[in-house]
Amino acid sequence: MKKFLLPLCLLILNFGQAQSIITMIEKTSYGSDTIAKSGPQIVDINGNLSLYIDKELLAEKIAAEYPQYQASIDLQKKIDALDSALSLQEQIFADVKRTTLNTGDLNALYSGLNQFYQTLDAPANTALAAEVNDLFNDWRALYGRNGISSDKEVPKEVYILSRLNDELGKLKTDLENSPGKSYSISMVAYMSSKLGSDRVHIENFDNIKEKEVYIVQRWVTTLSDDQLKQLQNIKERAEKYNAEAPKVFEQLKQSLLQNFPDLACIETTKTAIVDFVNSNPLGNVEAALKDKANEVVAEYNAIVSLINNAKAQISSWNIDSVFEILDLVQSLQAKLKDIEETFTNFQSILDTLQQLKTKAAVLYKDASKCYSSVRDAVNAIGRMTGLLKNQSDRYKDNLDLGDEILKFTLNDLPSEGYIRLKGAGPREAGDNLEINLVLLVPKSNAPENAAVSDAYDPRRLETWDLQMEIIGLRSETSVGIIMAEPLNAEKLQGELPDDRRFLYAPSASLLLKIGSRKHRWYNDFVDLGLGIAISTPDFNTDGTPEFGVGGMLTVFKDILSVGYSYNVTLDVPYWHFGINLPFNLPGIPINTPK
Amino acid sequence: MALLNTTIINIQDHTIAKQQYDNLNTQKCILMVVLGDSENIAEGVALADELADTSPGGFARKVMWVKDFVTLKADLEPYLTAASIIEDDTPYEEIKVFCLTLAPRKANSRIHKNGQMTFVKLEKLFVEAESQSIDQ
Repeated sequence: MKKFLLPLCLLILNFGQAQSIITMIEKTSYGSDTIAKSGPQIVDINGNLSLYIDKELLAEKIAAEYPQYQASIDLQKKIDALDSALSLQEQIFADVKRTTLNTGDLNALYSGLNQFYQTLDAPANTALAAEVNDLFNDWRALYGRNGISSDKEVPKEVYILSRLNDELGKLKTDLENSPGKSYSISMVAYMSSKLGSDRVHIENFDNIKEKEVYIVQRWVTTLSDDQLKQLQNIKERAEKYNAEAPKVFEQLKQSLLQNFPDLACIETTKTAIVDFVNSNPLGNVEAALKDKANEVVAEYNAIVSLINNAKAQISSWNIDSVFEILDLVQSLQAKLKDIEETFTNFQSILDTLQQLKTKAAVLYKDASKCYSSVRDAVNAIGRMTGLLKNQSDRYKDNLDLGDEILKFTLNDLPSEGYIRLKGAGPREAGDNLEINLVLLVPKSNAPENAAVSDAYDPRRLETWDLQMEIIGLRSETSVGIIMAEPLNAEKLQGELPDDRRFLYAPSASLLLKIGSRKHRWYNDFVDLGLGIAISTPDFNTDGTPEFGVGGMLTVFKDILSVGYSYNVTLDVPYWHFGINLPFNLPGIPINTPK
Repeated sequence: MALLNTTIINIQDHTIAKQQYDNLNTQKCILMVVLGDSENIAEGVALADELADTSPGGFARKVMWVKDFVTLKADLEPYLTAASIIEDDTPYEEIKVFCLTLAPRKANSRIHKNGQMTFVKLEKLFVEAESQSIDQ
């Protein structure tokens, strides 16, 4: 068993760490780091990224996934190897036949020769090396040992290089005529941010203009204009809530209750059906239909009972705990589901009732009208509860190819690209940068001179989904509303409202946070913050805010906060908590954290 | 085929071997050293000897063939150690060919005992040593 276990583990490990085509090196003011494809892919938000492309792996991937390009890739690889070996051939040709060479000439000559033989000796070029060995044998056969015996002396280097050049020309012609040569390769980057999403310039790979330099500051110590505005709003809301706290929830309940169905029409319709059952015309109706009519009445009674129950529950809401809101919303949604099921049943009964249409057309019309009004009311409640959910889906067309994206073949594909994140425009910690290496397959029947996006079908070869973070320690300001409970309320005897345990207060905090390079779940979810908080509670409700200062701990992107502060004005300590949910409830002091 | 540029080291008499080596070592030539004895190596030596006829940069080329790994080991091994060619996993006995620059002599790379003595590999060693002998 053990002998199978180890290879299996190695296989799994190997599978998990498949080689990537792009090697990404991040350069920051603190040094360089290689970003692992299999890792969390977190980069510094102000860093610079160097992207190195392994052309050999790229060629393998294209050949494996798109076999129609295999032949042209093989040709291209051969051409690349020859190009590399012959890259300094002019220096060899220029000096190899000269009898007197100075140091400069020798340096140039050997630079070319070294490049030539080292390329041939590379493990990837064994076929080319074998070909050169054969050419040497040909040369020896033609001209004798070292060409000495020949009338026309031809150095072996000249002979070999000439033949290789001939072959290179032939290979290039073959590639031109290859049916599968017309693919292209591009690399595109796309940033998704709440502050604006757009393509990002990759040097060497596109002609997109860099945006103005935008540096995300590590040490933020002041409130932004938005936060100041928000703080002012919170202050006004806190005062309002403190004054009208009981009304807030009544408003919510009333607005929900107003959306509940009007039961009057149900009662009217029910009475009409009962009358219909007991009236003379029913004497002519068969027993089965009579039973169905009675079922409709029973369903009406069930609906009325259900809605009355829901209404009663809403009326009994209280706000001792903020969390209870969420439970009640969930139970309301469950009730709505029940109501919808009942109405589905109601619909089927109405369908049955339709059989009585000839004898009860007026009754059916009233019932349909009643059902529609109830259904509309249910839908309205559904829409209202839908507002409680944060459903902001962002559309990102990250493979969108404009004409400014450059297209390459394997031969001329740059081996390095460069992204300067400071030039990527407005962004904030947690935003994503997606980089795609794409194969552009020509669309058949694409019009000549068509735009890139119309002429090519992009296929992903490799995707990187980077998260941009301020790595390490940073400061952040946050504003929100807190619920504060004085700890020695006896000092406030006669000043604190009798029926109140918690009072709302606006709060602003300066938090220290750590951006992780290793754990996305920490950055996305935990996001612990620790710092100082100031708040302006109004414990004596005289309309003049007091000043409080203390410590605060926040988690979950500042959604939850807890702290201990001291009301300096009234000389009273208090503890406080805050819940800053990322959505708004009508009339509830829950707001988007900043 | 006669070996025009090759000295076969006497492995029976180490004194003579040392004299042969000293004689070669003091010449102003690029010196290729071949270690071991087999049919393939003999063919490789013949090819190296032929390649030593001419140098693209005009350097004199010589070949020294030591048919065992004992003779001259004390003289040759330090070149390989200094060039980090000999490591824990590649002892002296696993080296087949290397090439020394003009004085001060030094080695660069080598052909492993499993490697073939082809035109490309041998010429690469000559060229490499010559390119580092330009200013010497």
